[in-house]
Amino acid sequence: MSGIVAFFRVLSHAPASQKRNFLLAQIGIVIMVTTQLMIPQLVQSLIDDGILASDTDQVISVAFQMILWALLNLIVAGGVAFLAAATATNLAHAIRSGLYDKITTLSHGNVDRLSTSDLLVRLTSDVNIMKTAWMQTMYMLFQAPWLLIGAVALVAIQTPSLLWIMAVVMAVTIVVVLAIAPTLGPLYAIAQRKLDALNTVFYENIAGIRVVKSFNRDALELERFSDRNHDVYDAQLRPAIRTALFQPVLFALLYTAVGVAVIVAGPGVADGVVTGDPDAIKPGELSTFFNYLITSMMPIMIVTFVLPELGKFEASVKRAVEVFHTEPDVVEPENPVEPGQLSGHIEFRNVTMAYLDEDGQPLPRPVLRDVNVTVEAGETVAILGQTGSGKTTLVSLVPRFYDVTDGAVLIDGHDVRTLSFERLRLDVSVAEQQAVAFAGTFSHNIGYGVPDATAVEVANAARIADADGFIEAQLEGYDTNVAEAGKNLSGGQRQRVSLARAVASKPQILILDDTTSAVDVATEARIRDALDVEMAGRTVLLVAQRITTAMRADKIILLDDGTVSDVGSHHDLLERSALYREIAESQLGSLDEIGDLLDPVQP
Amino acid sequence: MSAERQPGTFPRLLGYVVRQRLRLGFAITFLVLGALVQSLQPFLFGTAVDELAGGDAGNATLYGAVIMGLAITSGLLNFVAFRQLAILAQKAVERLRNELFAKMQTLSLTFYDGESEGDLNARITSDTETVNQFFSTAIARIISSGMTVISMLVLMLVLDVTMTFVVVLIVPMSMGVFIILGRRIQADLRSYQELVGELNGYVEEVVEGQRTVQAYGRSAETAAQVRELSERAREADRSAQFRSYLMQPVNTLANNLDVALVALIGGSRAVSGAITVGDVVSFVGYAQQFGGQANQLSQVVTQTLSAVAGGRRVFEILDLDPDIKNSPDAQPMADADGKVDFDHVDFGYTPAKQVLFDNDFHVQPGEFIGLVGPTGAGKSTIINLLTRFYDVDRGEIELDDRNIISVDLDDLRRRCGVVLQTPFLFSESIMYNIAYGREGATEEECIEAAKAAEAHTFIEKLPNGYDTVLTGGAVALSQGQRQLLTIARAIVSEPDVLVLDEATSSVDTRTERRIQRALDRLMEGRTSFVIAHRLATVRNADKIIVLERGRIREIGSHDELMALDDGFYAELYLQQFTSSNGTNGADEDAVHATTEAEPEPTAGA
Repeated sequence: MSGIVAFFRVLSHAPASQKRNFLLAQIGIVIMVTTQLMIPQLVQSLIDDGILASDTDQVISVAFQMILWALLNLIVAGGVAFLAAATATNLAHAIRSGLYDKITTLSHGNVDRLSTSDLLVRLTSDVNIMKTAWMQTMYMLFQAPWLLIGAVALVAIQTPSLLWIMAVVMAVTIVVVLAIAPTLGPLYAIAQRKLDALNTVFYENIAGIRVVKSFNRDALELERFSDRNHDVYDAQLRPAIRTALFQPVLFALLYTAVGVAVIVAGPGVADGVVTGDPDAIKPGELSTFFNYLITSMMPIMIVTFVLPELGKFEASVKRAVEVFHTEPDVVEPENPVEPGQLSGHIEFRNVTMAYLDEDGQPLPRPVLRDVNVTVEAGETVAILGQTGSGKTTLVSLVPRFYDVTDGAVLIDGHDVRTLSFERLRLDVSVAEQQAVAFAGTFSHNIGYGVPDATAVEVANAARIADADGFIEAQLEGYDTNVAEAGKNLSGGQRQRVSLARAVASKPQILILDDTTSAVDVATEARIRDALDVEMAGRTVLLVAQRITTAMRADKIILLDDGTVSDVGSHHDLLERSALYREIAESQLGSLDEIGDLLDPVQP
Repeated sequence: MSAERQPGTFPRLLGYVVRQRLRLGFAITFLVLGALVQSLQPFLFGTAVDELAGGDAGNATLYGAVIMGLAITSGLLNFVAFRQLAILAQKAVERLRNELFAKMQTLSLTFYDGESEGDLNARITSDTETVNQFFSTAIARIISSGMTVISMLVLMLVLDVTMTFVVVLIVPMSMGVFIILGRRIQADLRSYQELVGELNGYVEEVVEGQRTVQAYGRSAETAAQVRELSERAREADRSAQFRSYLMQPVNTLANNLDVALVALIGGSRAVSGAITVGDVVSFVGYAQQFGGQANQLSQVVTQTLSAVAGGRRVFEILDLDPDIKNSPDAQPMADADGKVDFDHVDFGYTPAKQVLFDNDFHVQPGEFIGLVGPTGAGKSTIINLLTRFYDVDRGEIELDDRNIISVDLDDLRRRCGVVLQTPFLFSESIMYNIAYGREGATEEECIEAAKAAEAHTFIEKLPNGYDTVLTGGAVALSQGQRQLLTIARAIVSEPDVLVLDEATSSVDTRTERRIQRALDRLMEGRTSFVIAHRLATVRNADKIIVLERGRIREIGSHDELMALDDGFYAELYLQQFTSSNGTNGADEDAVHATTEAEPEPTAGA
């Protein structure tokens, strides 16, 4: 029942026009139910006042009344359906766009905790669930009380001696429905889970087709599949058989009740015909009793059908509200300092950073601990360390993807938390490892941060990122369309497009978070050469896995488990850092041998 | 309409049901009986009312009892029939899924390259689901509504021919309306699905790329775009919802109009004495059910149309002929020494684009071969050909001096073990994944393999050890740990030829060392092909094959290749450490030109 409360709570937040729609629909529903109940009344009148009274005019009049009521029913029901559809789809639209508006204000930490895939579920299937349930509630559920009242009242007035039969039929219907319906939901859920498990085997065999073929285990996979397929068979059959019970049982019940009515009321009807007793049940009334029996079963069906949907509705609403109530972790200062264009001097001062838990509290183990390091304006600085040492976290603090837990990050002496988002966006650009590309042309993707970028600027950025070659090889060059989420690009191509985008916005601070991990060594070297020219005098922060990427930097920050292990040039670190030597040897081979190769290129 | 364009699909779908002759016959028999019994009811009730209206209640109890008895009988008959129909439907769809899966196992990689994964998944899930819906509801409806309509018709004709025509008159009209409305709804739903697909695709893209959207200050535009797409989806959705919900009132209208017609004509004829009042009661009863049957049948038409569309997409896969098959005279190969020869091999993934040109090299048993070259040079392609994921266009590949095309395909792949760049594991237990390497591998062998792969220690630390099931988020194995498991799997498979495709590229240094140790152990005494970006990985190879744009440029050991003047390998090797200032020009184009040669989807295609 709390689902209905949730329904009205949502309605109370709806704009006035939607509330008006709802009220109009309620009036419509009362008319709709009345017209539905009128038809059996007219049948009764046809039999008792028309045929049995041998009155042809009455017969014709009744028939035309039936047609009028039938048309009225269609018109009103159509109106109600339209209002319900309008309100439900307006609700879906409002929640969908409202949710997305909210999401744009959330910081990376919020999104990590809510999880991207979960947010997508809320934006898509949750919205759909809400819409469907709303539609059903508004159109069907509110018919139930009126149908019930109408059917009971009419039987009580016309054939009061048969009221108990109706009561019994309703009671048995409720018992049957309660015995079957509530078990269906869980059974369907089990069937869906089994089906998902089955589809997993399908997906895996597509994704891992090379492995399946390499190891030649077709027979094993077939067995695994057909076992699960048979599970699905069992799981889907169970609710199907229970559903198969419904119609036969209810029909049997209905006609059993008719049989009882004939036995119970029959003698009275016959007597009434003979004696002309006006209080006796008339033959036509006996036949309409059958109709009201059917009508009395409907509210039970409706409620059983709609209530579970309302339960889902409530859950989906809760999940949407949770997003609406999320406080962004990173907020823009109300009165930001405005220093003009930044020069790119960065200082990490006593920085400690712990990611937040579900409740927004810092996790007990910080990812960065007491980091003190300075990057001069115009320097190219590499950040190197093992997986999990905090490299990405460190650079994410500069554009305020996350905020420090303790200490401060300063650009040109200003705490980043005092700068406007606009300032940070203009002067800091990040090209991430998990490169993102959007549907649209290559030009659109590269000029994403500078919508008024000229074709020359776009091409120049592409050249620097070594993306010009493969883009120009396309039939339509920069006007070639990139598929949704860049799915038609390889990982290396996406990375280069993302790098070109970062370069195109001409930042004072360029952050490359392992942006070239998916491109080959030769290409990477070319990109670095071009970047050295392009970014001369501006700051570059470079997160690297490959030591060859790092060793050309002015300075290398070596991170070890969240702390700064050492800072210095390649040669300094090679001399004094054991950790650095370990990494170098494992990636390059014996140091003695490569030593000679390295020297000539040192500046 | 679709059924006409693809004549085979509908009968073929029916075939899955008709195949179960006994069960189908049983279900139909019971349905016929149930429908007959059920259609007697309005007739009996009408007769009872007739007698009562004549002032005779003598048989009321008898009528009542018969009505009750028939009610229970028809309920039982119908339930038994529906139950059989449910089983029938589930068995049919189970069979279809099994066939689909078995088929997919036989299809070669060419097929998987051509299909988009999303499309394939859709065929497997939503298309089979449409067919499932068809089997479980449409077929039952066709049979049960068909039977009910026929038996009601028979009884009505027995009662009164004119009134039967009056009742039936409404059916073609209302069916027409339902079919037109149904088509409109289908069209609405399609356009809604398209718009909501576009909307969801966009939302997925921008939520996943939210960092980028924010970082480049494009939130406002993006939100506006979401709003606009959402608004368009709303318009289409409203019309689809409205029309769907209109079905029921239209159905009610059909029933009501049918009753009104019966009232008008039947009433007048009853007054004139042509029929009895009980007949009118009976016909009102039939009329109330008849319009509804038309609705049911029209829904069947819609469901059948979408099932035919879905079924066609499923059958398209079932009808594919795998292009890599065992040749009819294939001979088994119990084990191999590991001698591999490529004789002047040409190959392209598509006829338009050749990827390998005249590849010719010879490998002695037990040799360690490094494959290097820029992205797209054709390294992985060589491996794909050796394991017959694809067949060569020209030339020949031999294993132990036998053309691999003449070797039993299963045996050939059993002789080759592959460890890929991205470790692929099944969402089953760790034991399952290791034992996957070879049919009949014992638990002891798997544990031995895990030890050799340095995976045993971390497996033991997992909550359920070797029985730990690798599902989604339950067990978060690192990329390196997953790679160790795939190495254990390769060890179990006891290959004679080993292929390592960038097996250590995505892990950090320390893990890489463990993996390297495990790989060294695996490579001992086996012919091994190792593809590497980091040239240090193949430094100790017996031979390094240097590829560029599908052609072999150099072959030799590291020292030999480094000693070459203007050697391409030496250049690549030095590039790792140096700025590429000296290596521009022709080579730059080389990389560009070959980047697209890999079988990757490309823009604008």
